Amino acid sequence: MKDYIGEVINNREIAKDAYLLEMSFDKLPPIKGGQFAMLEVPRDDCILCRPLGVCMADETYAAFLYQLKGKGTHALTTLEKGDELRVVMPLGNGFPIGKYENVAIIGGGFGVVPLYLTAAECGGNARIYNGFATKKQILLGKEFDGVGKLTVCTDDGSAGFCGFPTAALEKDMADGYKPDAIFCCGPEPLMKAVKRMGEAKNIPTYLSLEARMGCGVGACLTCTCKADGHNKRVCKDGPVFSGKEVYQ
Amino acid sequence: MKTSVNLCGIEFKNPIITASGTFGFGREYNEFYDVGKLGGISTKGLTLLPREGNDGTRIAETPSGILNCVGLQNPGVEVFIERELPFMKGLGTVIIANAAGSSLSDYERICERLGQTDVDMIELNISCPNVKCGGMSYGVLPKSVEEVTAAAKKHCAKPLIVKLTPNVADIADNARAAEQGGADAVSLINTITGMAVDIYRRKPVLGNITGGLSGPCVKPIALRMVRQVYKAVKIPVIGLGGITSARDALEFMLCGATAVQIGTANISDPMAAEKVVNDLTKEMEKCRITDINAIIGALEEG
Repeated sequence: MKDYIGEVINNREIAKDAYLLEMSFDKLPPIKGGQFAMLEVPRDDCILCRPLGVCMADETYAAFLYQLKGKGTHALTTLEKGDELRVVMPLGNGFPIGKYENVAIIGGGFGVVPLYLTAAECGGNARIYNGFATKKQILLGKEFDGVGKLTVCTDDGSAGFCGFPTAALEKDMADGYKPDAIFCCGPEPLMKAVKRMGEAKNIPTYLSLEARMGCGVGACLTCTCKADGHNKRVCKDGPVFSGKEVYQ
Repeated sequence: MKTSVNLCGIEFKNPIITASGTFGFGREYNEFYDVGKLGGISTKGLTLLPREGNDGTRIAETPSGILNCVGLQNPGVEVFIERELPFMKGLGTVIIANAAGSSLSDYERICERLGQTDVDMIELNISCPNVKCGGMSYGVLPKSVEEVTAAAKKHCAKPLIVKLTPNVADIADNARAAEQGGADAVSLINTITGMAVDIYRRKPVLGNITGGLSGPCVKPIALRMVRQVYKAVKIPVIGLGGITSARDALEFMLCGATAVQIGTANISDPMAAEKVVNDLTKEMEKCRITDINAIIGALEEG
């Protein structure tokens, strides 16, 4: 991990309140699916960086997809082509890619962001179940389709599978699909459902947690979560935790 | 250019120290730059036994600042001595162990234990606002400040810095009490107790309801208090509160600080403290000084 100065190539709204920020860098180290970056906020009174999952990356390029939520992300939306920004990355552990052959990937809402690289690194072998509230909120549909077998799910049935992505995976499993592991990033209720599902079916699960973060590098101890009864750092010990150790 | 300062007989290569609770034990930041360039490091607050800290949300951003309520999560003094101190001693910077307790005897025992090690100094944390027992409760009344300082000092074989809380009636009284109790130096300010509220959830943002405010928003208060304390005591003063640049550091020194601590800035930017060290001589030139000691307390009032 290091701090880099990147240059904005493009920063545009791709769905309601969803912005894709593409940046170029001199040279980046390899970034694993599930790792994240801390982005400086171009606004003096916001002194914390914003932790964003790395969506796409190569040696000189990184893309972040973020939700417009508050002052900080609003300031990020004002970035224009040519602007420079301090970015610290890659941070956190990422998913245990390579440890399992057949991985089911479950994403919910903006939780799908770090799963694109994850799926790509699984080498086209993964089945991806991405859930959104409605058709309008679908993110990166085309992109995910290119890196694995994608099932888009919507809560209201306005597109794809009607229901939660866990239900879509259950259905495939009833038809004979048996993943070696499930990787998930999404809202807490979804991740808890994935944990329960893994435990019921004896499949290891890996969950990417979110917490309000300070430094992002493991020093300030503000983003802790309970893991095996102890407070662990989401930024440094995670953000990916084994389903067994969290939400106990 | 001379940037070194002497604090209680300990030589610092420069007056830039990283503040307790924002820098762990230096490991994480040492991956970004050689933290041996710093004047010193004050460790995460240490307690006799390991502590898990508070549950729930521990940080909130506020305009030009942050609130935190970590609650002294730390591995305990023995694990620190065994696993962290050998690493820290190899860094080539002054190591200040920040010691926190829940009772008077805790403070005595932890100072005694740390005194047997090769930490360079001990910083007595009687100003943490986020723990139920001890912490700030020892730091509010001057009488109690004197008592806990005297108790710690009796068991402390190292130079003792007392870290003061700003959440008091008159911080000069508390600084005098620390001096009276035998403190070799004081550091100030710890965080200012504050709160953040979420109107939509009708809940406090922080799990602990209240937290400690830090960052650039507290700097004017910290400067004022450093100046007050500098005038009130003869022992050296370490200034902190919202320092993000070499210029900020020199402002505190002008007000009377012999050294300064960088806290929240490390959280904003992992390179922050190194940048302050790197910019120090440039700012000294602009201030037309060749020895940083020339600026300590040199504020011209009136």
